[in-house]
Order: sequence, then C-alpha cells, then structure tokens
Amino acid sequence: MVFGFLGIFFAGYRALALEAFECMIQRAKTGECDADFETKMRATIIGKVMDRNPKLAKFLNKYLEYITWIMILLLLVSMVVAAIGIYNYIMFGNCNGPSATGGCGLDKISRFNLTAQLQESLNFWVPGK
Amino acid sequence: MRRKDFPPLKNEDLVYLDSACMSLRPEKVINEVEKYYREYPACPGRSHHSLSGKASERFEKARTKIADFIGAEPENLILNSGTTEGLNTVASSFQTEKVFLSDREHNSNLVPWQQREDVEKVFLETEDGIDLEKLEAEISEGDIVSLVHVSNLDGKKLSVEKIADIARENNAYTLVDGAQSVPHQPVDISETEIDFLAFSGHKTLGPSGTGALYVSDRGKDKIKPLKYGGGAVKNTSREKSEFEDFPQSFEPGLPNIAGVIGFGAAAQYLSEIGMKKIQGHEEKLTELLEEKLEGIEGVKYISEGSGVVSFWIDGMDAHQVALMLDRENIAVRSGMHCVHSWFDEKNMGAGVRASLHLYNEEKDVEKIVEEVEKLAYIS
Repeated sequence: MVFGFLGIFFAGYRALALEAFECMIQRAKTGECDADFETKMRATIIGKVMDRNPKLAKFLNKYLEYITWIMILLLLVSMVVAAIGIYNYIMFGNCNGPSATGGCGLDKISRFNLTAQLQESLNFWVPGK
Repeated sequence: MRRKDFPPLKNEDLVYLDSACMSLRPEKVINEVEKYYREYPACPGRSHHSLSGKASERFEKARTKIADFIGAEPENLILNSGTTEGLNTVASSFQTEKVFLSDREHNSNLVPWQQREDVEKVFLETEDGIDLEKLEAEISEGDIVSLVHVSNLDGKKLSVEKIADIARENNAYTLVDGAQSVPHQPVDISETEIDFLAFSGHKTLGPSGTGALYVSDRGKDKIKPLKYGGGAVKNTSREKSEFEDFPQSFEPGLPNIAGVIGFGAAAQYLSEIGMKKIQGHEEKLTELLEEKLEGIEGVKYISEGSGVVSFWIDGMDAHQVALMLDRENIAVRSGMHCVHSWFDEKNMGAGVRASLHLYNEEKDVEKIVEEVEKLAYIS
C-alpha cells in the first residue's frame, strides 16, 4: 500500500509496489513471500540505517519482521477505525456515532463541502432515494 | 595486477569478487570481438570470399591459441558453448557401466550423469583429499571418473593427475571439469593422462557462450556429438551422412565466431602474463582474505585452495549479505553456487562466495573485510 501510494508520484516505486502486491498474494496463498523481495527490502532498510546508526541497524536486523507485523497490524486497525468514522459521519453527521457530541476531525473537511458531495453521490447511486 | 586493462574496473570503487561465476574481460578481448563484427563478419569455412577466408583463419587461429593454453593440439579441441556443454557431450554418449564422481560436483557434472539411468554412480568423499583407496578398489575397465578439478565452493583442488593415472592403469577414462582450474593456474594436459577436459571462456577472461572440450586421441571414438547438422558433415545423401573429421564433426551449425576469436585472445592474454604468476597472485590474496576473516567474530568461512572463499555471517541470510555488500559496490555471489548436493549432504544453508582473479588487489580484500566486519556487528 505504501509503495502503491508512493508509486503515484514516483515511477521508481511502481515496480516495487507490484512486487509487494505479488508478495502479499503469495503470502496469502502459501504463507511465504518471495524471498528475493523480502531480502531486498530488508537489505535496503537495514543498509540505509546502518550508514547512520549501526546500533539501530543491529536492532532492526533482529526484530524487523516483528516490527513490520506490528506496523501492518496498526495500519489495519487504523483503517478500520477510519472506516467506521467515515461511515458514522456520512450516516449521522458525526464520526463518533449517532448520539455522540464530541469533536470530529472530519468537520474540517465538511467546510469544503466534500462530505456533502460524497453524501449526494451516494444517494444518487442508492436506488429509491 | 593489470586492473587498468578491464573497463568495468575503471570505476575505482568497484570491487569485483565474482570471478568464479564470470570473469571480466580485458580491452584486448573486447577489441577482438568488435573487430570481427566491424571488419570481417562472415561465415568461416563455408564461403569462398576473402571475408570468409579471414574469419576462417582467425577462428582456427583462436582454436590453436586455446589449445596451446592447455598444452593440447588443436586437433583435440572441440569448441563449444562452455563447460556444461562439454560435460554433457561426454556424459550423454560415453558407454560405461560406472561413473565415479566426487561429493562436491557442480550441477553441470552431476545432473548429466543423473540422466544416465544405465550408469551406476559411485561418490568419492573429498573431506581429507579424494578417497583414492575406494577408487582403486572399485574401478574397472571401461569405467569413467568424472571430477571437478578445482571446487567452486572453496577452491579445493583434487589430484586429477593421479586419478587419471589410476584410471589409465585400469583402462578406464577420466573426465575433468576444469571450469575453475584452467582460468586460474597452469594446466598442461600433455603431462597428464586425462581423456576429457571441459572448460569455459567466460571464466577465462573470454566472452560468454564460449568454451572448449579437450578430447584425447583414445577418447575420440568414445563419444558422440550432442547435436548434428551443417558444418559437421562433408556430404549427405537422403539415407546417410559423411562426417567431417574430429573436432569439426562435433561443431555443427554456425559457431560463435566472435566469441571464439575473443576466447583465443583471452587465452593469449593470460599466456603472456603467465599462469604461474596469476596463481601466485591469487594465492597471496586468498591468504590475506582468510587471515582477515578469521579475526571477525560471528563469521565462518571455508577455503581450501586459492581464489575462492565461501563465508557465512551468523544471524544474517546470505542473500542479504550479498545485497548489502552490493550497496557498497562489492560484487559477490550468494546461494549454493550450483553445488546443491554438497549443501544438502552437509545440511548447510546458502553461503556467500568471494572469488578472485588477476585483476583483484589487496584493497579489494580490505574493503570486503571492512564491510563484513560491519555486517557481523549488526547481525
């Protein structure tokens, strides 16, 4: 996902995004990612860190896989939380839920009327509305 | 030694330590290849025009240079695509009941024999030098001993001369994989009883896709060509063919003319420097590399000869090591180096291989050691 996003702006990341995607599919299918890609990423990250901070590189070399899994988990959790927030905002006008009164980060976006437009678009595509 | 002759090494930062896989080429070789394409890009031995005449002359001259390089006669030298083709030529057609192999054969000398279900394979251990007792006890008339001369894992040299003597005494034959010996040390086939010697151009400072198979006079009738076709026959009728004399009968199709001419130039280049000198240079550098790796905690290495050192860094994947060295412009090879069977028997994981040639210098050794030290620290 990260490489995919970077690939929008930098062509160099597109190939990596594709490799990463293939790696993800492979992992989902067989439980193992293409060793070449994983090793390449590992060598690139640790190599870059090693130039500046060998101690941190040593730590990363040992725990990079765990760190990666934690980051993936955090990414998934934050995606779920954000999705719930967006759903609440569209349906109830507040990202915290129907009867919540707390502040909502999406209020700022609504100033530009983006959410209203989004709501309108959704209504257009929902039959009977 | 002669670093400036090699175009890629004009980049002072490059440390090329993958010569066991592919050697670099000096300007002289590149120029000869280019010259063929620019000046006389014609078919040798087929057409009657001056360009073809020049191509034929240069092609055969190259054969002579390559033959001289190993102390052979050009009439005994088949020019082919490399060691693998040479080994396959023998393994596919040599009529025998038994083949003796070492426990450290390259896939190119193992897989072809595995295809011969009619041939019994006997493996000779090499841990403390090759098991000559077993060979002497089990060899009999018509058998073949098919061995690597110098291992691409650790530079270990097998005493093929002695083995060839044993084979000859028993009216058996010897096939030697010279891929790692011919490019790095003097090999004089005329002083041995070896029947077949296969080697490659691309490890001998020559172009890729070139190689040769030396065949002794008595070995000529024991093998058949891998391929058949034009250039290898004098005449044909619908029913049969009249073959060219040896070795042209084993070289059908248009040969890799530019490649062979380049290979000839490489053989000449090496001969002019002197293989003894090159061997001494590589030995010195290998010793230095061994000595320096010895002192690094967490690093294990194997090296039993000159030119090749394989090593492992505890806690770090071999491919990761190679990729991280590559970040510093150090080219090494990681993996099982086409000797999977050896790794499988020893239950060992992939390793990193640093292999040297005449163009390497002490500073190359120092640079790789410095980087390996860093990697060993973070692993």
